[in-house]
Amino acid sequence: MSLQAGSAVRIAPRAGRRRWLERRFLPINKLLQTKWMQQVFPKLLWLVVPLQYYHARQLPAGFNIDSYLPSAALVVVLVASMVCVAGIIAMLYPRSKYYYDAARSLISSMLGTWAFALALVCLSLELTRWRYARPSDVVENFLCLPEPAFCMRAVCDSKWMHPLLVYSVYALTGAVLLTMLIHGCARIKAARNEDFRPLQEPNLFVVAIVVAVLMTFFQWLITTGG
Amino acid sequence: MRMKLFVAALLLPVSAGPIVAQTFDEQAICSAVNKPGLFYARSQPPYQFWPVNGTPLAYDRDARFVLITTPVPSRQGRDYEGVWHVRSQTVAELSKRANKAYVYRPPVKTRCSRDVLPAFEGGDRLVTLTAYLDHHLSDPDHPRQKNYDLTRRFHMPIQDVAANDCVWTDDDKAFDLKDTYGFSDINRRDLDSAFEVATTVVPRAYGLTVSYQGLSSQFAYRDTPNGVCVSFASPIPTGPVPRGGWFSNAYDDAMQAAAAWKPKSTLLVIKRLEGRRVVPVTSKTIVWADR
Repeated sequence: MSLQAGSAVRIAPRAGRRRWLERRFLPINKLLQTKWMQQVFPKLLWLVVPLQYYHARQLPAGFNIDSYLPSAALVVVLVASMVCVAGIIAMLYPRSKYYYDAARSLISSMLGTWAFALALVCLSLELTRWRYARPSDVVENFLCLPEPAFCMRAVCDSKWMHPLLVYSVYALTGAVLLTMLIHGCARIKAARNEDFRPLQEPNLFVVAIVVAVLMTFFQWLITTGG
Repeated sequence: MRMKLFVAALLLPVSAGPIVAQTFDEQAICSAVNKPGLFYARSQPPYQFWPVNGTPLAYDRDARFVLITTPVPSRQGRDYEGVWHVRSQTVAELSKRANKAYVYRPPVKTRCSRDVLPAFEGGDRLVTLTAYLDHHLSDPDHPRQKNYDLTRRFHMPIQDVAANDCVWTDDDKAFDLKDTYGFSDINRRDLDSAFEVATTVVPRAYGLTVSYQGLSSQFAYRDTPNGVCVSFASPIPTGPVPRGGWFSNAYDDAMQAAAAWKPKSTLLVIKRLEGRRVVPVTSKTIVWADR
């Protein structure tokens, strides 16, 4: 049996949570299998540098406009911490024969999801800034009103759950967009990688939640102290 | 036994944090003063008080500024709500430059709010100065996102009787936020976050010579502005202060540091919000007697 692009290895059906976790939604194999995608996508990650600078500048208590060096240092810290966290999680998930394969799969999924989520956050800030002369977060404005609904009050009033909820929406949307983009790009006929070895693809929700937690931590890192 | 002593010694800095009780009976203070004007009153019996009129005052971290307005017969139609904003900027000896601001209004239900709006609890009352300045558009050329907590736990929706609608006190279309709530002589660009400080090669040169060691911004609300008594907290140090314990909150630490604080002068600015109109009430510089 030969492995086709994006095909999943057949496994026996398992029950409940385990089966849910093993549903591989983020099509990393499709990305790695096509030569041009494997070359272009990692280069696109450089876009997080200006995006992160823009985001850190728009946050309340964020960076000053001339903080170029701290912004560059921040991106290095953020990418490094994302790689470290993904590396630790990869010891447990996704289950793979080789640790390196699991880590590679999770790191690329998380970095891609983070880049998309960050782009969406910046898009929201820029569109509202253009429309209302002051940036604001459309997801936050939608979920947490100044007088939130009863069911949302506990989350909106929580110091950590509030940003986590907002970033979860962005991270989940980012992961879905990344998935759609990979599927769309995979339709283009192109040369395949000769040395391609299929990886265990991580679950989209797991990736989105981990990225949202990290983005919450990044926000705290940017805005804390003084 | 040794193990127990070791564990106890480890936990000591956690549990021995200062317990600062700043309980006061506002009604009792107001009854003691019982005449219109601005006063500085002690919060414990026998509620000594002094008028704020330029004579030096003795600093007391637990004292309150008390504002009592004159009773006016109600006019035809419904009156405005009584909404006062007080800003204080204190210069003190031997303490560090303020990097936070004491921000507080009690829990309140206004004519326009659906429920009681929560207030900042404990250590959260000391808000990062940059967050406060950014929320109030202190750098209008580079507006930043609002801080959700400041909207929900500090500002409030009030009624604009003339326009017959409601407006949030931090609505940037209705108010000049910088002018109404901003701290004078403080430049947002002089302030860096901890990460910026840690990753900057050349430290920033401060553009201003005046530096404040205690900053505060407080709201008081009553359903009517006439014949009422409102009180505001005394200034406290809002710069870096020694920590009381591993998990001590910033407010308790500031109150602890205030016990030995030596304020020299405080600029006190009081404004009243009448719907979308901001009415200056008073602006005084208080000189503190030597401690």
